[in-house]
Amino acid sequence: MLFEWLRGVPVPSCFPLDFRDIRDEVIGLFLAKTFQGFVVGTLLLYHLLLLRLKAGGNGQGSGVNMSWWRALDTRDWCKFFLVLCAVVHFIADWDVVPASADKELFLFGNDQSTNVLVLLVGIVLGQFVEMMALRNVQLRLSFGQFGLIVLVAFLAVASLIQNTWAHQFEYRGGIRATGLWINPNTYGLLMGIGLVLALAYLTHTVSRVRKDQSNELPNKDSNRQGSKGRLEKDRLMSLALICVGSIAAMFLITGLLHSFSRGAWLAVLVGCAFVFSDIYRATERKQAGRFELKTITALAWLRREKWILVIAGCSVMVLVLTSRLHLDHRLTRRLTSVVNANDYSWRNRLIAYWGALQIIADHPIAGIGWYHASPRFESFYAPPKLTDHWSIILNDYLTLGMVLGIPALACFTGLIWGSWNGVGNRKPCVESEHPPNASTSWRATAYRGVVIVLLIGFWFDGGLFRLALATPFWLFLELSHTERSYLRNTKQI
Amino acid sequence: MNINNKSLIFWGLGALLFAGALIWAKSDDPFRRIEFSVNTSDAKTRGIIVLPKLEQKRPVILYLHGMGGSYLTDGRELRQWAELGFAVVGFDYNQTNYPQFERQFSAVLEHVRQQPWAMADHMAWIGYSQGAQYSLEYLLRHPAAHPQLMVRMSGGWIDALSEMTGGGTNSGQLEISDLRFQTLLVHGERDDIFPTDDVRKLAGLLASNGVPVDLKILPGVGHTFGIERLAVIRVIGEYCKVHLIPDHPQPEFTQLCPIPFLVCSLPAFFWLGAWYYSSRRGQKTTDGPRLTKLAIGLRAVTVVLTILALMQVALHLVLPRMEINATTLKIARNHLVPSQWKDDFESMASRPLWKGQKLETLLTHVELANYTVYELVKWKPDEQIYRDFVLSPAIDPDSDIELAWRRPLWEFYYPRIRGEQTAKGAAGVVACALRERVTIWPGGETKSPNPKNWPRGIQTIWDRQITDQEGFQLIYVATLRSVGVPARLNSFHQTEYWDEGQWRAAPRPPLNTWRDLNVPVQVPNLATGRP
Repeated sequence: MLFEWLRGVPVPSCFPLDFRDIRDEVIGLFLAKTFQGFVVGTLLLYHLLLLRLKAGGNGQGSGVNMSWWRALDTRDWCKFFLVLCAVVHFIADWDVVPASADKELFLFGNDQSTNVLVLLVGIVLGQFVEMMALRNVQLRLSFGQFGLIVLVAFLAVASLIQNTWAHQFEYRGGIRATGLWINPNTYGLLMGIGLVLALAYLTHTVSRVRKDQSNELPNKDSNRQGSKGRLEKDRLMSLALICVGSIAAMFLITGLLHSFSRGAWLAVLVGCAFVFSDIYRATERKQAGRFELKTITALAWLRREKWILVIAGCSVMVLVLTSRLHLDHRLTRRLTSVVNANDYSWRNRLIAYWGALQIIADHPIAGIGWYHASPRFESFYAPPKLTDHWSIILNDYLTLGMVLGIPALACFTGLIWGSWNGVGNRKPCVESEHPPNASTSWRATAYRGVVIVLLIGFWFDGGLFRLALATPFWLFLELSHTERSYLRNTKQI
Repeated sequence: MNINNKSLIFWGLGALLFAGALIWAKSDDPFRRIEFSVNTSDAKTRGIIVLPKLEQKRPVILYLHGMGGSYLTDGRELRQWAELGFAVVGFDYNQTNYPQFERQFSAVLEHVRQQPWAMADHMAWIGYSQGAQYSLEYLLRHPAAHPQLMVRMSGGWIDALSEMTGGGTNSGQLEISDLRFQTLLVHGERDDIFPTDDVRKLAGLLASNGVPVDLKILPGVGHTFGIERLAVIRVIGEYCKVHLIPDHPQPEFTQLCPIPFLVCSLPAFFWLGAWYYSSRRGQKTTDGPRLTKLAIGLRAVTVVLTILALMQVALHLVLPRMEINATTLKIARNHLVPSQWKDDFESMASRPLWKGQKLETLLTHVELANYTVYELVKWKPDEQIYRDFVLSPAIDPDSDIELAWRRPLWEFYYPRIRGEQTAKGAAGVVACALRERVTIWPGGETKSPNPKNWPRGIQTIWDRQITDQEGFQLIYVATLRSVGVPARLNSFHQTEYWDEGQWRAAPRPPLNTWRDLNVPVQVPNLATGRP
């Protein structure tokens, strides 16, 4: 995340000139073809090494003597094929790529030359996280307890920072917030990630506090008095965390709204709905307190009436969007712009989708390579009425299909599907000292909520090839898969 | 992997929808793009062929880009020509080593001549800058391989010519007198790479050797032709068509029949329906739980909301498609027109030109004109000028049969003038950009349709992309109005626009018709040195 910030932030004048030049040198290094070639090669080696290590672990766990590559699961093969496609295209394009990419584009955030690096870094990071999470349960638990709090706190603080050094994105005369980053959509999605995590944490903590209250035993003897004191202390601690979490959530909501990113708004809406419903669905009735029981009953009723509610919701949406209330507030204008026929933002995206599909149809198997998506679209596919060609890079799924071909896109989809359903891990979890509980469950929900936010964001605004969003995506994808497998496998025991 | 029922549905639905989307997108694509590579003894040459979708033999344009160019960045030029009915070839060549270029060009020529879609005896070579230099040198060395037409854009003098004209030693391989095909030289007056004197000298040399040469110096433009480039490209394409296929000189625009997305996604819906049917078939129909009061209330509210939403949808989707009459106007006035457009709506509705028109047309004019002038552009005309010359779709009694032109023109041209601060700047951009899309067919051409038969409706002109001078003036006025510039036709049927309190003649496109390029170079009189 900080990487994107570092490329935009000006170095204060108190720093010596030589120091200020270092950043330019680093950027130049990143954009140099030879350096990228070296990093791609290194990442490929790491990928293969991690696959081998994981396969070794799987083989041992299954207790069957077999070749290491047979121990790989579907997700591993999907990753391997993705990496293979990425590297093969990188090598195939070696001759046509300039020695260094455009620095201005890089600083503006539109550079495409680092896409291959970001994808490979993400996949390798995901593998590393998966392996660490499987091998070191304590580490995974610590991240769930403290890492998430630190991340939410960081994002909440970042939402307060006004970015004045990067390019200013405007909406109807107002500046769209970008925080520490250089793109309001990136910022919006990051605020969304923080908000989903905060919501999951708050829902879980509130539910726990209420359960503790309802389970509180009557004050009869001195032993129970001590226990009650401890409970009281815990409760106060939890209440303090709820207050802090609520304040952080307020900051994050403010940041999210000020980003004016419609894709992020939709993503957060879906992510929060998922988190809220999944946390309560996972709470077993026998463990639930009075509050949870009511919520579970309400959610069960909502699920039963889902189709009626969908129809009612759609009707309300139609009535609101087609009403003659032409509110002048920027937020409402932005919200209703999705049905505004004069809005070039979504129109350009649709045209770009259309062009991307044409490119995929012309190059279905092998794709067109890492460096050709934008120029090819602008040159050969964009209809003459389109003047802004950058919309072609905003949909990561179509970008993947264009660049690497339909098989790679299918692998990516398969990887998401496998991670979501907990497909893979053949080795059952045997950590009996850490049995899955409500805490494990809320973490799994929170991770999956983040993945939902990012997957929706990738459709509208992109992010799979931006380090600021790709890093949390691969991290949380693997964590959600690990938690999911852990929950499932331990239940089986 | 455990493939359960749900994942089968998911993957099947996703695959069918994706395949449907690909078919839909491809059906709306006007071009075929064929990438090729040909091998020479020392290098591999990559290129691309862009041709209209319709399978038939076509005249060929071979385009050679300038220094630093690549076939990947030639697409806008290639597509501009392919739209006129040509098969266009662009390729990468060695820009610093002529001998290698020669081998590459020969290989590409050979490749193209073998193609089934190519009319090999109707070929034009168009070279820009370095491409023009190399193509001329190639011709001088291989006169037998000549095309039917050669166009040089921003090309200059070449050393090989100096050898021939006594400036150096002639190796005996160069013979200008062997060149007997039409040549066009297009040059920017402010070209700072190749001065105009060079191109004049070249034109004189070719003409004096009996080569038919047209020379056009474009005033005020530089080496790359700036914003006028695509308009110039278009006119060059029209010129090529006239000279290569004199029997069918007009451009042939491909008419597409795209398949609607709904039709393409039908298999996905069938898949979903089949799954729903099969999942329901196995289930026994049992009485559900008795509905609670809350559930009954929810259903009642949903029914009311759905009816209201359907009415609202009908109001927005059905009513605008109805013809304008007193009733539809009344409903629109009460339910569709926001208060800020009301005055404009009333003033437009009271005009007599709406007979037989759809309500949508009137609403679109009011909405877009209001939005463009009051919320988007920087210049603000007086209210009366705005109503008569921006909002009003009435331009000329002949053209006023087709009034639904504002949205397509606005969608195309507003993004192009978005950065302009003045009406004058916007008019300049529109003049060039309109000529990029609309061919002006010159009057008096014996093989063209009778000028009286050219359509006058602005939508028809826009769809067909071809008209005559008068038609162009009509669509020019419409385009200016669509982007918020007050415009009208004057008594000479020329376009004027309103700027800083007065009517001014609108800027002209850089080239009107292909005839503007038809400027033959006279053979210099050896005694006087003048034509």
